[in-house]
Amino acid sequence: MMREQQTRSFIHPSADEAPDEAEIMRLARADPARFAPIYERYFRRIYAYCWRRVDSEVEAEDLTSQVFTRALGALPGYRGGRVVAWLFRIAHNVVANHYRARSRRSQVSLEAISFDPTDDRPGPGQQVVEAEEWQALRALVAGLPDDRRELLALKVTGGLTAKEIGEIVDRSPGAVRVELHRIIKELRAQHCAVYDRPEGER
Amino acid sequence: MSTPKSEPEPELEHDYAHGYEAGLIDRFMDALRSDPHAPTPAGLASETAAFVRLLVQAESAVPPCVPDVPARIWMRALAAARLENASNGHGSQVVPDRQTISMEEDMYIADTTITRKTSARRPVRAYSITLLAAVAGVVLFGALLLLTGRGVVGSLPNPSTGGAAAPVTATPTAVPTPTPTPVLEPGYQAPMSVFELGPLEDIQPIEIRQVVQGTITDEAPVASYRFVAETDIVLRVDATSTTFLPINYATTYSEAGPSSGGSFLMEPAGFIVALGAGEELYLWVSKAVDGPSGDFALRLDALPEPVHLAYGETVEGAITGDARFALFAFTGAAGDRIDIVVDSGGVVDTQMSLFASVTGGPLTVDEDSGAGFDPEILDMPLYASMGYYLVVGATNPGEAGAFTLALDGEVNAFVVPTPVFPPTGDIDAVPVEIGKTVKGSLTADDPEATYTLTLEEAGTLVVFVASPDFMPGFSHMQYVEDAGGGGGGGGGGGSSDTGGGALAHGSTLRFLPIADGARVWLTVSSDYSAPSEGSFTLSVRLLDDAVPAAHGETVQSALTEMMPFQLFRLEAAAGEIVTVGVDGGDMLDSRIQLLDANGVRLVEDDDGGPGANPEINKFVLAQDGPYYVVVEPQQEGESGAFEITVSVVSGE
Repeated sequence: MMREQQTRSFIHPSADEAPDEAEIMRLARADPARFAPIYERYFRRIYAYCWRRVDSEVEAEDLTSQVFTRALGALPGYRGGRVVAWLFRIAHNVVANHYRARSRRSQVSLEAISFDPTDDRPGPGQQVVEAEEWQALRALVAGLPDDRRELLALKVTGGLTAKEIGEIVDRSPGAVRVELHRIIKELRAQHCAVYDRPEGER
Repeated sequence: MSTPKSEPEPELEHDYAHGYEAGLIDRFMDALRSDPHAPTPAGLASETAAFVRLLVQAESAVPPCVPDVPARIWMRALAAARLENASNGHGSQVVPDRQTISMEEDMYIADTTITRKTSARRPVRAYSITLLAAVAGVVLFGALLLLTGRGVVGSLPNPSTGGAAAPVTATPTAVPTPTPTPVLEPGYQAPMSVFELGPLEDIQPIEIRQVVQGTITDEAPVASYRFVAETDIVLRVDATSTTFLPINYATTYSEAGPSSGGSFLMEPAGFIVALGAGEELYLWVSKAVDGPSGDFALRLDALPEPVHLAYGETVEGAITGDARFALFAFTGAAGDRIDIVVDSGGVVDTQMSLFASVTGGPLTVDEDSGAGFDPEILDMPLYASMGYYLVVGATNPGEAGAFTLALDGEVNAFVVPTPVFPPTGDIDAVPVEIGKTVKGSLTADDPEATYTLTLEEAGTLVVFVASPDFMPGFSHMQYVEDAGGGGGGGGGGGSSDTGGGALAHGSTLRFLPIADGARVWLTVSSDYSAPSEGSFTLSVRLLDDAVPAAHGETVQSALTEMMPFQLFRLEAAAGEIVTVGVDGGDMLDSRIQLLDANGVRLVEDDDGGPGANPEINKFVLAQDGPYYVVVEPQQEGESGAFEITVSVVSGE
């Protein structure tokens, strides 16, 4: 496990997200190997999304594999639209299937997903003074109900718009925005409680 | 019953009052993903912004991931896809026993040769597909490992690490178990039917600018409201919901139930309705039997007098605290193509709805297609000559500001075909056969496609139209020559009802009773709620050919390119409770509908079962059967095998 080589960084949407994707998808229908640039572009976001949903590297890897296998198989059925939204719809279904198969999500071990405060690996984690707050915050997020974790993962990790999320989870864009607002409100209240601060402060 | 409340409650008021903040946060999160140092937007409290910034930072961090994982996953996915393509019997494709897989992308380079162990076509049983994939996956990885000479634990080259070896492990795919026959829980109480308004005494009054909220659950599946107009008025009805509930309206209500209304989705569309003095409006939010529970909020607004404009004109409008919407009107003609552009200069985030009538749902809605967050509607074809209405409102409650609205139109931009009935001459129609599926396409210049067939004996046709590009509409007519051979009679068909339904998808299915020896014309178009350009498939079958599905039976079937839907017949009696499950394994994401004997959709589901599988769970039948179950792919064009299991139990 070559952990010493890994780095932790932020996921940001690719600047070159859209212009060439239609052509790539067209070529990929004839030859799935041509899908590679799309894979390279979105692998990290899909992997991160799966990881956020299952909190397990092994399961996230397996689910990510399933997502792209299904995506390659579904290329003939792709009818345009943002590729990232199409991929996350597949990912949503794969993760949902995973949960159903597992009957219910096993209890999340906060230790398993916490950042190690003694971790000396390079990355933004060390660049942010609030690293400890990240840990507490992510523990709070891990305790959210599945549907709320899903919304948050699609928004923050997936980088989808409210409209795209709404299409995936069958809600209106407004309902998505309102629900995210509620999630943030509640998380913030809990976070303030953890740090014993009045809500007026962060 | 439901828990509607006529008095605004703090939480609801909060939703509306802070909808603005929700929109700001949404945009701020988008901005932070592109730029972690994005400035706090004006109007968002600094404490809230700081917390959102922290949350996005924490949740955007890439999880631990060993460097070889991307290469490993890519190879696994690509190999599985190629193997699947080789074994799924697409067309007449000949697959050699030895297949070379060559990946020459810049990222991950690996050339290898695998031996395909089976030339079997896609098996019928869904879990057999998965098993085949699992076995093939193991075989494939075994071959990969042997070829790389690494034995049981091999390595793949990884350009990102300079070719350094990384461990490889194969993860077999789990084999799902077949869906068990569901058993009703003791004491199960069937919920009331969907789309019912509920008892008259439970209908709550609602006034203009009053916000009401309710909670929809299995136990309280309906919340209903009544408004009485004191003067002539045009209302805008808006609603929010946590779970995508539809809102229904009617302008008359009698013992037979509500009528003269429709059903529309919650925001962002809203809908408008014109009422005369003394006229009533009934509104109700109801839960599908298998649909989600959730909270909703509902509000009425009186629209101002419309500002009339013509093609080429630009007018000013404003959204204020007292007037949440601006109304515009213009006259359009069939064949025109129009552009509508709103420019707020970034002052207010607006959305725009175009209506073809002063009562009804919108033809189209736009939020952000224009510059900044402004809406615009471009190249919109008009299919009818009438007055059109535009409603412009703030996307986020509480925003206000001025804007300009520019309307432009190209007159006679395309030709709208006029249906001819009864047919007096040749109709440009393509022959279609029962049991076949044909593909076609519509363009702006040719927005309809007509097909024809003749039935030797009377029967009921099942016509299915699906499109990935537009919401298909559909009409038909039939013509029977009399004994004298001079003319004859027939009947006309109506348009599809898929345009505004709560669960509408890109397909429509109709049952058409056809007379002896009738010649039938089937015309595919859009439902005119949006442009109709794009491809479609049309399938025609006989209702008598529906596959019987009895209680306790599991039927194996498949969706293919040439059979994009499957129809099953179910015999059941009034009061019985039906559960239908579809198992498409990992390969088919489908949806199902339960139809009555006339083809009217009773209930629909897409993800209610395990995984992405649909399930209609415990639907109570109102009358004796037969009933029909339609299975179609979630995404038009997808194919795959599935199993369908039906359970019919007594409701007593």
